[in-house]
Amino acid sequence: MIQVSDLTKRYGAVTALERLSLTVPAGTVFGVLGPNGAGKTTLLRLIVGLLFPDEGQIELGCLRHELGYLPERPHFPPRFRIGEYLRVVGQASRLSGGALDQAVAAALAQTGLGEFADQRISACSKGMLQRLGLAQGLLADPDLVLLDEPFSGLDPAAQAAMWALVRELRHAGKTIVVSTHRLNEVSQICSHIGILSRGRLVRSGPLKEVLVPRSQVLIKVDQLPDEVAGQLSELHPALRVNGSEVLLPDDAIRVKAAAVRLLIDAGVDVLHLEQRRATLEQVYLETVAL
Amino acid sequence: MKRVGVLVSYFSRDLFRSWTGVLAIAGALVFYLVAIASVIGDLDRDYYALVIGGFFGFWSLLLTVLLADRAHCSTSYMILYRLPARAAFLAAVTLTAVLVTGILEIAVALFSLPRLEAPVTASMAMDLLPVWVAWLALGAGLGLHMSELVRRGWSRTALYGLLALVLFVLSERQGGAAVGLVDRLSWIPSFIVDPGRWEWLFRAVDVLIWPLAAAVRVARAVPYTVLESLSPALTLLLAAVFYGLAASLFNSKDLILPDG
Repeated sequence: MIQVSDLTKRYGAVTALERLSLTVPAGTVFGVLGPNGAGKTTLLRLIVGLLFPDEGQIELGCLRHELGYLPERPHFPPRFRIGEYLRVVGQASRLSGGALDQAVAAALAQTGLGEFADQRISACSKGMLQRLGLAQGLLADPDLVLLDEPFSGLDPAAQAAMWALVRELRHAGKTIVVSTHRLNEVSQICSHIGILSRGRLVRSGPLKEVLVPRSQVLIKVDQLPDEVAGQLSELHPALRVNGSEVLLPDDAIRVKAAAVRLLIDAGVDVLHLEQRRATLEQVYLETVAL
Repeated sequence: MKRVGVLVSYFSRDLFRSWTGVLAIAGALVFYLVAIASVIGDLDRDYYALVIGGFFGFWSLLLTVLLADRAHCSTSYMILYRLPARAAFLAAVTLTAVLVTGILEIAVALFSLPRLEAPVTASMAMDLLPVWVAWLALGAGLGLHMSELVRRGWSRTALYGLLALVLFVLSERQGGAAVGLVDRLSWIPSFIVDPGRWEWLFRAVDVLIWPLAAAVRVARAVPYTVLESLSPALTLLLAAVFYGLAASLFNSKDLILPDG
């Protein structure tokens, strides 16, 4: 569990996070969403303890040095071998002897790097480095795992493999905090999300409550006289007329029948009528624009 | 302590797989060729003690700066977040620099033995080793503050400004006591009033410098007092103060490390 209260972080004159409070329940996969510069990486670094808050506090359900962390764009000493490097970070986590051997073998197997244990890090692909980053994060079997943009720069196959790993961790009951832009995967894996925008938490809570996919109705007509357009706008304040298109957002869908009737009564040719669901991306973009 | 040992091993392996490690060895070799091998005639004890000790004290400072700057990159995130105390990381950087330089110093000292005018006695070794170790530690302690890893705000400028002031005062002291400094600053009206008011500064500098000056006496083939025999320990204490200050800066520092 993570409890963040009134967290503020400034870099000189720039406020990266402002009075941010959020709760990550134990055993959940929490997605931290937000555009570039929203403060996602700063939030994760504050939780890990690499940065210090100017105000506010963070309470963790585990000791800080016992969590697992995958930084954004992880870098490794290039002249080390994968297995050798994992042994070093394992020892830094106070693993030794048989426990260290087992932990390294398990992390290598879990991330699909088993056959590359003797390969130099300098010869690794981007996808392998990302998997190595995850392997070091999982080495000491942490209850809390923080993943900062784990999918950036990965090809689709590597991304799918990374998501499969996150799924495995979720099934193992870990608490996972993942910062990402990839909304479709977030909707499949995250149980809770927090949306950051300009250093503030815009929305937070269970995914189904925060990102509710909404419907909208699009009506295309042949020609729309100004008088009829005016009458349509009076039906609902959210209804929008754009040339020969009439858009009824979620709030205005209940006047759909009235709008169509008005158009037919006015002699306007209705060419196309479509009811469609807004994508998560659209809902997210509307949220961060708030 | 075990974590520090693991990190020392990690930093050492990383160092000797890089050009920085080659530079560390090459520098020691060049020093040997220039300062030892090319000297005509036998080496006297004072030269042996002070030149080797002084050079490797400086080499320890330089290697600490290089190691700390190697550690000041994002590869260190994965190590740092799993340490209960960041001081272990800094201790490992310092210890690696001292150990590597110490080994190079011993190698150069051993290779130089045949050039000494008189054979080394146990008592000479007992005098020299603590002084050399103290100088290595002092060099490392000072080197930490030169690195980006430790620097916070104006800390580097403040510390090295203070050291420059100490050296300046020392030079004035040796060049004719307080009067020289006061004369130089006489354009400031308040200095003209009472030259004696700065006596406390000279005394403070004397206290700070004394362990180093006394250690030079211990290292040289001149008689020294019981009090002076404690100078290596006091130099180590001074190094510990510099390390403690560095650890305190590093512990409360926001770590935004460059990619590397």
